[in-house]
Order: sequence, then C-alpha cells, then structure tokens
Amino acid sequence: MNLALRAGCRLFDCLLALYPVELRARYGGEMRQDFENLLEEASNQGLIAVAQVWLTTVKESIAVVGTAYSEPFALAASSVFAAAALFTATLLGFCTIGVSGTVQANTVPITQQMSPNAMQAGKLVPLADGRHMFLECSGDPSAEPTVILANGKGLGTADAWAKVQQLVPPSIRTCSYDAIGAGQSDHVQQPHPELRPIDQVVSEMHDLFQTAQLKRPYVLVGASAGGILIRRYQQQHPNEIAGLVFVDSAHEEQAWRIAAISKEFDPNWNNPESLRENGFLPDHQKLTWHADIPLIVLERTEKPPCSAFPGLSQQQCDALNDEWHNHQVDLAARSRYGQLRSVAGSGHIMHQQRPGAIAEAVKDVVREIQRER
Amino acid sequence: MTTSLPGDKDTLNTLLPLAPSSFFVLFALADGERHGYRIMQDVKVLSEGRLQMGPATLYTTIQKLSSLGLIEEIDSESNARRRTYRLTHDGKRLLDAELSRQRNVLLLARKKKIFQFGGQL
Repeated sequence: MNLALRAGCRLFDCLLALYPVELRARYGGEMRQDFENLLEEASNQGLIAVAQVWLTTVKESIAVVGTAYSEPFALAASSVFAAAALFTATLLGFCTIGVSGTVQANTVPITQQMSPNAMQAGKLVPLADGRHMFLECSGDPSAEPTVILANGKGLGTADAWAKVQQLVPPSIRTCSYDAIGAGQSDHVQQPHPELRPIDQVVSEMHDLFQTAQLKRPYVLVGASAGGILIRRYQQQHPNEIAGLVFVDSAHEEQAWRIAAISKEFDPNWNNPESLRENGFLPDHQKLTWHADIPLIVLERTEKPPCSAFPGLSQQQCDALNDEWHNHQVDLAARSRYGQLRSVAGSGHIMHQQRPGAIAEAVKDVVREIQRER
Repeated sequence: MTTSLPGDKDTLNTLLPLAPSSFFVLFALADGERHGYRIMQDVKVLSEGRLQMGPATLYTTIQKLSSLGLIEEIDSESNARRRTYRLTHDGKRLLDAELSRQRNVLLLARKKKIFQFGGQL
C-alpha cells in the first residue's frame, strides 16, 4: 500500500472512531476494508475519483455522526469543507493513542463559534531570533502564577484552548499560543513542524514566555504529546514551574511499550535517535522524571473502539487501552502532590469535549500554589 | 438483535415506499448473495451512477435491514473479514411489494398519459 493510501485509511479509521458504537462494533472491519478498496480503485482513476470518494465519505459521515454529536457539528452545517477540516483535526487528535503521539489538539477555528466578546485579543510576539509567535492571554494580567496551555509540538494552535480559556475564572491569567509552524506563528519549511526536535521547541517556548514577559512562576498545561513537552520544559527550567496539568498525556515510554503490544503503529519505534528527538525513550528505558509540585493528571474515560485499530485483536486492543491508563497512573505518581482524575464523557480531545474539567484542574492547581506561598 | 417483522402484508406495507439506499441494497441482493463491497459496486451500476454509496451509508442500511429481518448474513468460512448477505423471505416479499408499488405508479402515469415509458404511450 502506498503512503497516500495508508494515510487515507488512517484518516478513515479516525472517522470510524466517531461512528455510533453498535455500527462500528459490528461492521467496523468491513467498512474499513471496503473504504480501502474504494480508495485504491479511485486512486487508479485519478485525483477526481479520489476526491469524489472523500466527498461521499465525509458527507455520509456527517449524516451518520451528526445526530450523535450535534454540538461539535454546529460548524458542519456551514459547509462540507468546514466539516472536513473539523473531522480531520478532531480525528487526528483522537487517534494519537497508539501512534507516535505527536499530533495533538485541534486546529478547528473554534473562535468561529464564539461570541466576539468571548475572544481575547492575541498578539504576535517577536522572538530573539527574529521569528514571531502568536500568543493569546486572558484574565487578570497582574495575577500569578501564569497558566500556559500547550499543545503538542506540532499542529497546535491557541484556538484549540478557546473553550478552556473561557471557563477559567478571570482572576487567573491564562495564555495559549500557536506553535512555530502552526496558525499565525511563523512557519518553517523543513522539517515538518511535527518533526522538529523537542529541545528546540522547548527553547522557543522559553523564548516566547520570556519575551512576552509572562509573570512567573508558570503552571503548564499539556495535552497529549504536550504532556511530554511540558515535562521536558519543567526538567530544563525547574525554577519557572510551580505546577502542572496533564490532559490525557502521552508518555515517554509509550513507543516501546506500545511496540510490545503491536509493531504496526510505529515502524520507527526502535530508532533511538528519532525517539529521543521527539521526547520518547528508547527500548526498555524508564522515565526518571519526578517533580514534587502540584500536579493533576486528567484521564479520558471514553476509550477508542477496537474497530479504530483494524488488524489488532481484541486482546491487543484491550492491552493498548490498559497501557494508556497505566501511563496516566504512573504520571500522577511522579509528584507527591500528584492527583489522577478520570474525566467522565471525555475522549482524547478533552479541551473540546470537557473543557470544564480542565478549567477546574487549573483552578485547583493555582489555588494549591497560592496556598503554599 | 433481529426484531423480525411479523410477516403479514400490512406490516410490510408500512415500510413502503423504500428509501433509495434500502431499495438498492435489496435490489442488489435480488439475484444472489453478495458481500458489502460488491453491493456497493452493484448499486452504482444499477442506479446508473446516480447513487454512490460509501461504507457508512451501506452498513447503516445493512444494519437496519438486518435488524428488520429483511436480509441475513451467511456464515462464510473462507473469508472471515467479509461477510456475505442475502435476502430473507420477508426481504424478497418487501422488494416485490416495492417493485409492484413502483409498477403501479408507472401504470397510473401511463394511464393518465403524463409519462412515456417502454417507447410507447
């Protein structure tokens, strides 16, 4: 199977994950295989045929999923293409379990759904090296600590956090930003934003926070691979960080632990150099990170269905979900103040699905820090 | 979870007229059993390209028709990843009922001389 086809099928797997449970459970494997055949046949006929397959698939998915998830689909009504973007983004986020964990959060312009009053004015901050990053802060500018919401290192934009920022009380200063290569921040030619070394990304964050004169200390909130990112940041700048919130975070050991269940997800799982660059640990190396600061781990409760991973047995699929849970438990034990919270009704894209739970955790961590001082 | 219909004529009639997706899936299975992908291809041909069904519509329809006991799965041992479907007795009757409904509509149109079919009025 060629690369484009494989990418297409992966995207379809993600779509599939949104379909009603009974449909997926019973026909998931067949739907996936039929889609693969359709796409393969279409790709022999040219681009128009491929586009037609996708158009049909997206339209159908809206019909199938629309009723079950009416709220996220408010946008879908506006146009098929907005819906396609919504799908793509939502799904990529949803699918990070098991994959390399480098896709995070949602690039959907949620701000489109919000009233103009709710939007905060963002600004472009010039970094020391001449590049610009987009930063968007809300709440009392004189408040400490500053809460910073971080996506994973690649595709994330401030937009993804809009709902959370709305729900955090105005007495707390909260900022989100577009990563280099994403949204309104400067874009890079090479490599793809997702593939940029984690330490470089951490240094850009550091630059941004410093240049924008965000009041220290910081509480970092990281979603998915953003969890690995903020642990790395804390490790490099421990004095700047007073607390952490992990939002269904990825884990440094996940590459080899997942490969032990199935090698299908990441053919690159045993390339120590590439793993290290992305913040993951090579085969059988354990995470040593520990920080006795206020820390809350938010864990999803909605598991991706096994039909989202065709080719895996039920047993492998269960093992995968168990592993993800173990990672969350482990992370909560990395601070003696650590707390694990299972968030009902949330999948991986918690900032969309249960923004209130994140706002609550932010409030609790900030309160804890203020009490200690 | 088959909630088979009581096979009397009146109950079947409540399902008429059939939605295009249901009609074409039943129609595709009229002359023999098929797996999902083949149904999809046949529907495209039968509808002369007017109905392009993707997996979501197809399997939602299959799910619905199965739960009504109008089609059923055949155990296939050789190709476990693909199930094969066929019409049940009720499914055949429903398709017949739908086809005669369509025929009656056409006859009516012909009688009223508002529609030409078969090359003659």
